[in-house]
Amino acid sequence: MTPTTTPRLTVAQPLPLPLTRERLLESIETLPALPEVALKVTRLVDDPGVGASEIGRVISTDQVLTARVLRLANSAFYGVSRRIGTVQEAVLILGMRTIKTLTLAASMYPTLQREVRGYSLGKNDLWRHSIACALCAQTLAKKAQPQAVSQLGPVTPDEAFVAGLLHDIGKMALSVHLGPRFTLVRDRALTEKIPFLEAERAVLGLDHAQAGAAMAEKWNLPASLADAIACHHNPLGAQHGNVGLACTTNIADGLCLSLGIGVGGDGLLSSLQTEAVEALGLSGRLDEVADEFLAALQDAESLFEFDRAA
Amino acid sequence: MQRERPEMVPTERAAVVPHRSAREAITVGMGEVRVTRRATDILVAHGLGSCIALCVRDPAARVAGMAHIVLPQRPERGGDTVGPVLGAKFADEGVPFLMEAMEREGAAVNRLKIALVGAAQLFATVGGARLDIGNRNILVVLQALKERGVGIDAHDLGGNWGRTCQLWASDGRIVVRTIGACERELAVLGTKSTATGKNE
Repeated sequence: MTPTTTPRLTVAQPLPLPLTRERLLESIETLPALPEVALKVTRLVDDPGVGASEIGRVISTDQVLTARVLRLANSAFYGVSRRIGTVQEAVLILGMRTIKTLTLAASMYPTLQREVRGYSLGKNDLWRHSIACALCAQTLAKKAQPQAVSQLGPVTPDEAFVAGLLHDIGKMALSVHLGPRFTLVRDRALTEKIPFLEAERAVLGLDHAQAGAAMAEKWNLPASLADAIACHHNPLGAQHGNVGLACTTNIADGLCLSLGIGVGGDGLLSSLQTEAVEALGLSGRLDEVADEFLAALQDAESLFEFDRAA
Repeated sequence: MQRERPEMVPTERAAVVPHRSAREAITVGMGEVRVTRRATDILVAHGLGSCIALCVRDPAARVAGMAHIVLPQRPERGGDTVGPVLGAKFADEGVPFLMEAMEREGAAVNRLKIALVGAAQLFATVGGARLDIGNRNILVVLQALKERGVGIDAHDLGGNWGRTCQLWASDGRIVVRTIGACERELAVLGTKSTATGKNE
């Protein structure tokens, strides 16, 4: 069995400003890589000729990943009454698209559970925020008005989950550069009354959404996903066809921050776009979404506590 | 209620908070209510965004309680409640829920010392509107307290930052940590409540 390739993120010392996309990517000596198995599963699920047994077989080649996927599949969140013992069984019970999201979440866990010191996020804080956003985005994709979404580009619950999971990955790369300049960025945001993201761009030359999109492209993830990450604070600025996905990500991020899940030193200095809520046909229904999402979170505690058992 | 962000330097009193290890931190999760008579307990609401930690203490009865309020009111859905029932998920239900729990432990509502912490706001959106949960939470909590004839003794509300709030059952001290910044003592909910924070 091949061991999981733990995503690594080795970043050099803070670069001189302004940062650029190219210099940032160069500064990351070893880019965090999605394990090959996760990428393979992502591709196979989109191939209509591939069956459940093949997906299960591919995941099973990675022992650590298999254990994590099974742990997620058996969490209360998925509500399976009996114990799932094998990945093949998980694929059959939960479906290939759910297994794809579980595989990606399990693969990203080693990266996202780390402390992100530049943003004052402790160990597991970014993981909690990311997995909560993923679940919230999934809820939003299911609740969005189909007519509204059809004009913005299709948003499937599993796409929304992945975008929610990865939307803040750029914070991992930007953290070391932000750290020593954090006060400068925060004061700029407070003084000029601008979102933290804009202050990042003004001071550092690059914001965490741009950094995240660059990483997604480096991982060869779909362009729609990279665009949703790039525009998760400005969803209507996404390319035509990706607006729906960017909107679900923006609202999920805003709701999770508002509920205090994974709030870092940048606090709530980010915006939830009214236009995004309207675009998904959810005006006046956000309290209802928040209520349902909170109920789902009760079942998701085992996902948050992933590290204890993984 | 926009507030100036606290300074990065911890206050002298907060910095010397002693002997934490000898005490037991009791996490009050989203929507939960905790009431205690044990002097060694510290009730803690972690990562408050727009949520409110409603901290109450009856110094005479030596009972302390905290409600971690999430949303202002139950949404009008017309259907059944989704998910497990949490006493303080909604402000209008959480305030009486906490009061009744305190009374069951021997507290008297008219003796209660009260502090509110949290209710941060997301930054205003481009369109000018905002997800206004924090402000709406404040209004509903204050109204519910007013209906019971009680006011608040200290508060640290609003702003655009996350907070963690502690209520020490032993002496009623309220310690607020602003995420990414400082930890400071906001008030002491004692016989004569003292507000030590600059927000009071």
